[in-house]
Amino acid sequence: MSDPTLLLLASLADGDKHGYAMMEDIERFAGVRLGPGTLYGAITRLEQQRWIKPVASEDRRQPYRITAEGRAHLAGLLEKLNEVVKTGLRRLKHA
Amino acid sequence: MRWLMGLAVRLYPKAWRGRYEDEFKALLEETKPSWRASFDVLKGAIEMQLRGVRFGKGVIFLALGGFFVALIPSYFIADQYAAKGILKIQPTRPREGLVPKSVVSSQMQEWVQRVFTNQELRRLIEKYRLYPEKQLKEPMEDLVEEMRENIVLQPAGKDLVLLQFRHRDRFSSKRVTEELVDDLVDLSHATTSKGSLFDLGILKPVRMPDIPVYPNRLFMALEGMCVGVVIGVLRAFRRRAAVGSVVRGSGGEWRVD
Repeated sequence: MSDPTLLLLASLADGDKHGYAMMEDIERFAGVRLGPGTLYGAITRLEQQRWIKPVASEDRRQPYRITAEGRAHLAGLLEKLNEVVKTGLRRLKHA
Repeated sequence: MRWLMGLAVRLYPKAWRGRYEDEFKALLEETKPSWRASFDVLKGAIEMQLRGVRFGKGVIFLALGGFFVALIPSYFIADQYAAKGILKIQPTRPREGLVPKSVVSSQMQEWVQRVFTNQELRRLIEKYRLYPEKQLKEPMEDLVEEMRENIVLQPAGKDLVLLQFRHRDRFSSKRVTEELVDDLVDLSHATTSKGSLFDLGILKPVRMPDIPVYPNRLFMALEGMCVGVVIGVLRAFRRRAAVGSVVRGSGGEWRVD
């Protein structure tokens, strides 16, 4: 649950956010505080993959938006994660 | 702490800073400064510096190239052999205990000066024709100096002294070392009769050297390989810098290519 790609996409899934807002949001829903270097490393990768894109802003703080490809990728990741969670829970019950 | 984060930002690649520096600094201004955050920024800088760098084949090729480029010329360098003799320092008055180091040192110095004279070295050069080609071109003083540089006399453990002479011909190396050892031992015996506290005995006689001591071809090849690796890594970074340009795309969006 500490994969910055997953956390960042999940954070942007409910709306545009700038870096600091993403850090705060991720800490709130995942309990993980991403460092600034880690966050911007992930932003660089995701933007290169075209899973997120910057949106116009008057502020120095640059907001980002998840793209359609980004949503599809996030959905895939969450499905896989869901499978892992389900399998894990099922096996725990039978153990 | 904030200054440290600011410093770490400067370590990011120029192209990356061109695209993200302003907004990244804005984020850092909102972030509570800490060692952890500073380390994270530094870690990010390293990650971005390494990003897009392909060390793969280029580095391997240059490393192998460096290995052989250094190895092949080493076969054109004449081998050098070093025959060794080990001498033992023997107290002449064992009941008086160990001979003080300072006494050994000064006595050895005196013997060396008397044995390794220019005259004696010149005699050995001529007797064994040690440097036949150079003898035609260079003054004898230079050859004596060269020979002196190839003689090693040093402590080799408790009460032991190592004497060796390095030469491209292993037979000459052995014979000259034998003569020098004999001269030194004979002189020490002669001095003993005049009251010296110790003399020298031969612990290990001089043997014919089998393996050359120079050049160390493996070491030279590995040096070449290291140079190749360094060139390969620098080249990989240069290529990355040339490819990783930042352009402004259509619609006001940024694209990192």
